[in-house]
Amino acid sequence: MSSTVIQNQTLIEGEFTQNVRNDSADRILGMVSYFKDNRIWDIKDPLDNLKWDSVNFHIPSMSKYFPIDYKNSFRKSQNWIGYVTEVYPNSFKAKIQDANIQNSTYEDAEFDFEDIENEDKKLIKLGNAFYWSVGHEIRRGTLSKQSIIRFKRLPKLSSADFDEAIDLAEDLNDNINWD
Amino acid sequence: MLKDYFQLRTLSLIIIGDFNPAIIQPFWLAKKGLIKEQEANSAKVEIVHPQLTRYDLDWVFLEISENRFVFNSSKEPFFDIVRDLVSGIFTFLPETPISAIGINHLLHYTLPREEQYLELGNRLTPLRNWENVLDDPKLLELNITEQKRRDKHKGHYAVKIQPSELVPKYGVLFSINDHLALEEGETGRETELIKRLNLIWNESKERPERVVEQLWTNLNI
Repeated sequence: MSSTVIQNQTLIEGEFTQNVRNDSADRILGMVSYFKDNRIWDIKDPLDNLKWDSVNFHIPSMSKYFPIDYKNSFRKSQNWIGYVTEVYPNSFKAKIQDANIQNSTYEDAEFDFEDIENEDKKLIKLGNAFYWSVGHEIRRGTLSKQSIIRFKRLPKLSSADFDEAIDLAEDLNDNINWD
Repeated sequence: MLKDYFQLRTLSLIIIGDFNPAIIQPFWLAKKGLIKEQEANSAKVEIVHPQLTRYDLDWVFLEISENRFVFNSSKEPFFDIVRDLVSGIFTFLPETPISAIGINHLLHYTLPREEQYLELGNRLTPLRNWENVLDDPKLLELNITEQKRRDKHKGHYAVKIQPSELVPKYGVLFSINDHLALEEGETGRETELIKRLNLIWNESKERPERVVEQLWTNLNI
């Protein structure tokens, strides 16, 4: 808990207690939600509740990037995007492509089901796409090598989306220069 | 090469528009199939409120206010997945108007020697120009903008160079802002800008390293 001065609507992240009058509360509450008596108050709540009151404000950081926790991050990784080409009882084959280089060549790879998280196993189907990354993760300051496989999750195409994709493909086909 | 001194890359995808923060909760994302159910269960929810929603899914931090939607990730293997999440959310909300998208790539480096660190500032903005103006001048921040995008889309591309607060001493942060704005006649609805985000994504992801590497070569430090 620290005391923070609010000036010109510049909000500073953190929690603090401040005695507020209606007029200053109006300016403050116009920007953020606030906590009082262990509940979140809507900014439309009557300001009468705040007459010369001691209010515990929680001001989230809105104006700058969130602080990134350097101790929980990922060092440079090698990333691929893959497409399932064959499914076996305990493994699947895929074409994989370097995700960091546009138009890179495809390579073949095989993955065991046991390397796939349970919730992703239902997505192992012909043609489905997945991401595979190998790199060094820093978690709580400790470096460890990680291999991450995660299937792509996208909304199903509507018939309009499908038609649009077909139209785009036909346009591209019509505009191929065969010289 | 500057890549020898690479430390960390983060992504901050910021979308400007009119949003309803209370809707976009972890369980809504799981229900729509955009994240795993287990991720929704273990999300660290800070606040869900009509004016502000904030939570951490471990690989991405989300903050949604009425006019600003922020996705932050410090885990490079998940950057494509963050893009998929953005794309997925707005596919389900086609009537949500979006007026701009900022793709912010933040690249942190640690230079090995103090002389290199100081010389970087001197080469970017020759400090001899400040002789007899300031005592011992140092560069703190530099912004350079490409006002018209190379891909002809509406928006701009900007590079900011400043000290990095995340990495050990002699840390340098290159913040690349790849900004997409609405074209004339667009409404911001029907995922117009999201489609453009998907179109430029690979180039947006690859260009920052080329930019900083070429700059480092040009500076010849």
